[in-house]
Amino acid sequence: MQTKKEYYASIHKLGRDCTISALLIMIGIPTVISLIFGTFPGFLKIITVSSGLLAIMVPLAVAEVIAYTPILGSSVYLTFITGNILNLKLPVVTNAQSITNTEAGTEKADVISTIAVCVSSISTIVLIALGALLLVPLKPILTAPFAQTAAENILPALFGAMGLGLLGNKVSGGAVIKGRLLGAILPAIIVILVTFISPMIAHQAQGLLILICLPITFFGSKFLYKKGKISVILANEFVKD
Amino acid sequence: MDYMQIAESPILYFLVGFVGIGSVLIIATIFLKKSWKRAKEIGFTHEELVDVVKSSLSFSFVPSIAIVIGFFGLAAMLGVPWPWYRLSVVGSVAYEIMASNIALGSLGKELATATATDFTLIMYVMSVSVTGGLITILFLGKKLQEGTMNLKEKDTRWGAVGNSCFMLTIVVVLLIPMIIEGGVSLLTLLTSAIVAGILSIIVKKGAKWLSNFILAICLIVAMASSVLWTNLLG
Repeated sequence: MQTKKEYYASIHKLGRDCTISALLIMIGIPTVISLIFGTFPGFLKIITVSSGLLAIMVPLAVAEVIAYTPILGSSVYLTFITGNILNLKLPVVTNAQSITNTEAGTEKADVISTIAVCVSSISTIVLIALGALLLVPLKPILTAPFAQTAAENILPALFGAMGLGLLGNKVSGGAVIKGRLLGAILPAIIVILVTFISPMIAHQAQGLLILICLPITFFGSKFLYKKGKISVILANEFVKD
Repeated sequence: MDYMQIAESPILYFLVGFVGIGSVLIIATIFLKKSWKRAKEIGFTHEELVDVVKSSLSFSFVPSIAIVIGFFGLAAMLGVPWPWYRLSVVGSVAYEIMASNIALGSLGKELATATATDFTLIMYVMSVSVTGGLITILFLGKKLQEGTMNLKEKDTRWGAVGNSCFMLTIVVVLLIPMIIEGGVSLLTLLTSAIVAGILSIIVKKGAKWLSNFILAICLIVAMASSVLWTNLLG
């Protein structure tokens, strides 16, 4: 049996190797196509057209990695390779940690999260493949306006179902954190102000907002924890009581 | 060769199916095998792991259907293979739709007059713009994971608070605009929360089998309700 250190060393190496492979394949497919068909658009054009998207996506990507890795642990590699994080992988991981009563930041939660992400990724790939195979018969149903409306509202549906649990005092692993929402007051005020000033910015600059709010929540909570305004009852203490 | 001929070309199907998606399936299987073995070594029972698998499958079903709906929308613009690949790897429905629209818009052309080179450009733009997350993980993934674990090991109490800050921030940033803007988003959110509350009560009263399906049921009911709210609010 590998020691914890050996296991993590091997999973990070595997994760990095797979990430590099995924990156190479991602850029490799358009390259092979442009070589075969002689349709390479030119570096300058690729950079020019990508620049606007990169301006939005790079801060979002950095924010996502910083915010999600503490929850996902080493499953972060596969999660980012297979995408659909907020609308799929994060809820799946949170659920898996909850049913196994494991806490993010522990080896147990890490391993369970990886299993959940693997299962979720494979099932999504299979379902999209079925969708591609059944494109003709399914298209009239799934492109109908009602289906589009339903699909557009997946995030409120997800957050409605999970919101109470995510904002409650009980966190994954069974610990109870009294007053944990106090640390989120200042970030909440910032998000409220931004939303009132410009709802568009609140949506499009989510990455930047997460980057700004994360240290405020973290250090604000640390300050309140030290002052005794936030207190913790660990799972084992809870059972004794 | 025009835009749709290249978008639906057999070689693109091959590259996407066997190389792109095939490699991700292999990667997922390797991770699954490794983490399953480790889970057993550190004390999880076979039954517990099967429960995680069942629950993850049930959790993934409804969001995956929403992804398939997005796929159909993209397939009309980009043919079948490329959206099939993009939604199986790295991307998300919202990003892919935005990226393909920006790329198409930047060409200043209608889809009908777009060329094969334009299609290749769209493929590059959608790929290059989403590499940020993967590149960031290469540099920060290990450090962040170890940092979280150290935080937990140094001070268990503060570790629990500190680790919970990340999810809390994400919820605050995403939830508040939904609530303030009101309308269909807010009503859908409330519907989902109410259904979740009712189902949780039923589970507590003894229907334990239901617990694996709470999210799937909430998603179906709330997403269906969004159609009703849209019709009512115009």
